[in-house]
Amino acid sequence: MTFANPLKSSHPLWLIFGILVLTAGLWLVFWPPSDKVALGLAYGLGGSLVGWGSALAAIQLVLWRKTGIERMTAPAEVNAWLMLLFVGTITAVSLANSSLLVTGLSSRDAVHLAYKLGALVLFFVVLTHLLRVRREGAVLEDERDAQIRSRAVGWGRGALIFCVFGLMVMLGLSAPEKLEWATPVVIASQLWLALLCGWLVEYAAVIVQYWRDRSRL
Amino acid sequence: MTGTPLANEIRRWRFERGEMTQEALAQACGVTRQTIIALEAGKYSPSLELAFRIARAFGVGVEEVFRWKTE
Repeated sequence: MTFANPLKSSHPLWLIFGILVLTAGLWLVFWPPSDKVALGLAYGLGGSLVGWGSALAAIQLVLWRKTGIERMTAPAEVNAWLMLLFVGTITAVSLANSSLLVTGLSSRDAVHLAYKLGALVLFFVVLTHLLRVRREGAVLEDERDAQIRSRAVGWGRGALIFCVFGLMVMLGLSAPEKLEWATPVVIASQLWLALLCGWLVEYAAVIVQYWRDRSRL
Repeated sequence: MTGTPLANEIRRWRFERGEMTQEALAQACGVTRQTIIALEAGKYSPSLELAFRIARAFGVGVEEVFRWKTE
């Protein structure tokens, strides 16, 4: 069996291969071996695999014909799903490394966290660029999408205000001896989580509105 | 999004324009196909500008495409 040049034509096996390479890279970056010598190699190799896998999968997806999902959903809805997954993953990584956020970002572990977040950002940038290329010439957002986004932004802002207000009340009304944990780093990480919470609610609100619209059609 | 007070004849006009597809109408009006679907189902009220664009795409007046439901 022969496959055409993966840069010029699409084939399911090339796409699967790209996704597998990407997954292997992400695996090495997120779950590196504990051995110190292998750690650097794992990050180097993992980063390279993320880059090559993303590029190959992206090219294959750009060349791919339009799927049913693309016909069924508005581009703004797909974007909201991607953003929800991206922000959700960042939140999960932040929570999983909450001990690091408490002790400060100067330790060696912080470099590992930076690698993980860097890999995520790279993956997301490649994915969004791929979608932009694929949707060239299409309407990405119209007045209905803007209306939905505007309502969702209100929800996101509400969630952010709720979190910040809760933190403010907690810090303002607690006795000083009960606030020994509240170092500047901890408060900064709490504010970071509040921001993530606001974004999560915003993108979830976008998705819910599209879903509700569709279910009533 | 609740039902709107506007009724429309988009489906009929598409039919009369040789089964114009939702995709083609969306492209002609500069919106997504999902917005045309929502409009046809009466789940979304278009802006005045979009209403005119749709009517223009069919080559008719706005009042021939959209009408107030109580009329």
